[in-house]
Amino acid sequence: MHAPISFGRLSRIITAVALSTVLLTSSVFAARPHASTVNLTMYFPIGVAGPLNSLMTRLVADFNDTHPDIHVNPVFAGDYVSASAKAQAGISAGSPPDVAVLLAADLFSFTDEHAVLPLDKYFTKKELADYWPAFLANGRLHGHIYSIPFQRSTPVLYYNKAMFSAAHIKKAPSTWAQLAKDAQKLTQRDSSGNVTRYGVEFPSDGTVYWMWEGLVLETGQKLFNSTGTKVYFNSPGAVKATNFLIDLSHKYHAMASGVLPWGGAPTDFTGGKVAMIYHSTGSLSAILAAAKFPVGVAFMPKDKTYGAPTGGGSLYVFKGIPASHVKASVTFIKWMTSPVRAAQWSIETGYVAVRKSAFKTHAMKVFAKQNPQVLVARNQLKYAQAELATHQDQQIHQFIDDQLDAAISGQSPTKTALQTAQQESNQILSQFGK
Amino acid sequence: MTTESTAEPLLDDDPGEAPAGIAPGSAADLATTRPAPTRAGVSLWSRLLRQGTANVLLLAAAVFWLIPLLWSIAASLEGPVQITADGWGWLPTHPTGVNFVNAWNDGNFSIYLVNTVIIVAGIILVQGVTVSLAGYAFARFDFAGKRLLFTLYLLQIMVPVTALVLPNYQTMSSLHLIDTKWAIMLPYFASGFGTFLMRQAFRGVPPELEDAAILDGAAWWQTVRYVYLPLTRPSLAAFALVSIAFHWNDFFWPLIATNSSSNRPISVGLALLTASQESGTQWNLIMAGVVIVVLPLLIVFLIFQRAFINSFARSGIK
Repeated sequence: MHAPISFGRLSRIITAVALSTVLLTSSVFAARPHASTVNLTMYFPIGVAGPLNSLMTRLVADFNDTHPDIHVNPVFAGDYVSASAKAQAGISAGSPPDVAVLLAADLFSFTDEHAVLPLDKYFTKKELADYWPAFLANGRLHGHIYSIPFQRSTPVLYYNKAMFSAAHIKKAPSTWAQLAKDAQKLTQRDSSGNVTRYGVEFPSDGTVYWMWEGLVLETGQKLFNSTGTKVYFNSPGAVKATNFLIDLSHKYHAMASGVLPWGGAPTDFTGGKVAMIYHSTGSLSAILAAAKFPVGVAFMPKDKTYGAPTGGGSLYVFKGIPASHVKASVTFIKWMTSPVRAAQWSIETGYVAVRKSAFKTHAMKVFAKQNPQVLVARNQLKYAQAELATHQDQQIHQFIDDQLDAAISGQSPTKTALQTAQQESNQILSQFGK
Repeated sequence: MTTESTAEPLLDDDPGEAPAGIAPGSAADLATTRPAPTRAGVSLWSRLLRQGTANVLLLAAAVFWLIPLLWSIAASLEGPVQITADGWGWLPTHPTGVNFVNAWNDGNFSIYLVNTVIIVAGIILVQGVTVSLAGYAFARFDFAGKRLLFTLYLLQIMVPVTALVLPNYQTMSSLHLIDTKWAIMLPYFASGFGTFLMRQAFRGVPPELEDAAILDGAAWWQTVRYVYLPLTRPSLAAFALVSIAFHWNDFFWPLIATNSSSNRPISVGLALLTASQESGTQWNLIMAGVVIVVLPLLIVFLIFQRAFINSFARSGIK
């Protein structure tokens, strides 16, 4: 009963490998590029599926090739939460990155630590006016702009045109009432009454607060104040929005009940399991590529008004870096968000191009001709507003996400749940003054 | 500790072996090394029945554990057909290797795999030395403040690793080690859990054996190397398994501590595929990534399985 490889031999193998470790890692202090060039470190998260890492590497390489005096080193930093944590770690050790793409809604986490620079003075009024106001909104604080929109999205309503014409519905619903009615019509049951296809799906796991904010805005209710010190989670509008979601499942029986997964919604839609989904523009490319039917994109239907949040990441520049780095960072940001690059980034990822003039570029005109859906998201931006952003936003997001899940899954009544989220948030936000 | 073992004098395992909760060891314990009160009168049937039940239960557990793995492999082989909540069966309808090619390229795995092996091997080698020596000191030496120091070691087990990310980062930054493999490894060179495990194991070794070795003129390190370590292999193996699996999977700290692809492990490569907060999830691609990450560890375990299980089974003091 001899083991083919003994424990002793195993440990010798491990030793050999580990010794080579030491030899290999002794070359860690690799030489940095030339002293005359400014070396920038940029952290970036990935927010949409697809080969975003190689796209970002390619884009930055283009920049480096055309700017011999600047070298940007792009560093993948996980998702938005870990990217933020990585930046925070750098700040706490006095070695922040120069530039980072971070959640636009995380503004207060960085301004509270005095860690980011206002950028408005490096841009002309005309330049700033070219960015969509809804995207700039999350960067605004005390008359300054702290972040420049880069990978930004907004939720829209996707609908299956084939199912719509089969059900003799002529156009996408534009109001809540119409949505409920159409969704009921589009829901199919088999002979024994089991649902085989739902009319609509509003994913509600994870960061449900994001799309839910759109519903609240549609009731005419704002969700937070501009200085990030107040939230209105228990407002009548918020209650109405939450009840609308619950009604879709329990009153109209047109949506699966319970908490529905965000990641599965696009595949449910392209797989024909559901006729309409609320989802981010970030999934547009994936949906168009996978769907075997004509895909329609519409505004999120309105209650009193149209409304939608914006989401995604913006470019921040950090305090404590040399002046030459700040200058180079601004050059880099302007290049990355130039009309041509903004159009390219949008076309290849599904994010909404962050500038108005990007839609006038040749590439975008050609793309929009083939995919008119991208223009819907652009047009909806007129009604879009900043994503829920407060001091300690990650905690506040957690409070409201948990309570919304409790309400949607039926664990607690809507009013109680929202009241709880409000009280928890008040406790945190009360430290931050009026 | 030794007082408890009087109930089962034949069970030669040291009491410190259990905490790791390693499936093969504990399962073997349950199934075989506890013959129960086999008085002469107990029939063969009841023994067979008991063993049969145990086998069925273990088999069910094994299948249960296998499901996610099998699903991952099946999904990773699936073609462009969409995987939906209920619209996808178990067998790939359009088998293809394209997901692996895409995952391999998108996830930068060729570099990351090498890095991971270097990092994990580096950590485990140093840990092997530090936890054995520290465990030996706690088990056999008397010194001032021993209890306090040991309590501090135990406390370290209770501190969640994520809470240490910021202080560790600051330390590594002041040592100018950020963005090196050292930054990933250094905070793990000592292990409270490993020290605790080895201390318990060493305490299960009869002191007479050490006395005999000393009489024969062995130096302290010789008694550790030739008396203690051979007798406590199961504990060391258990710790190695847990530690290797942990560091193979560890994502957050390497992500924070390093920037360059040349220093980052495989878990970061997997994250390149899974980060899709703002869009739908590409299950096929992610599962191909998962298989790439899991497979090396699985193969290593299958190769060394005999060695590991033997070291558990042969824990007897002869």
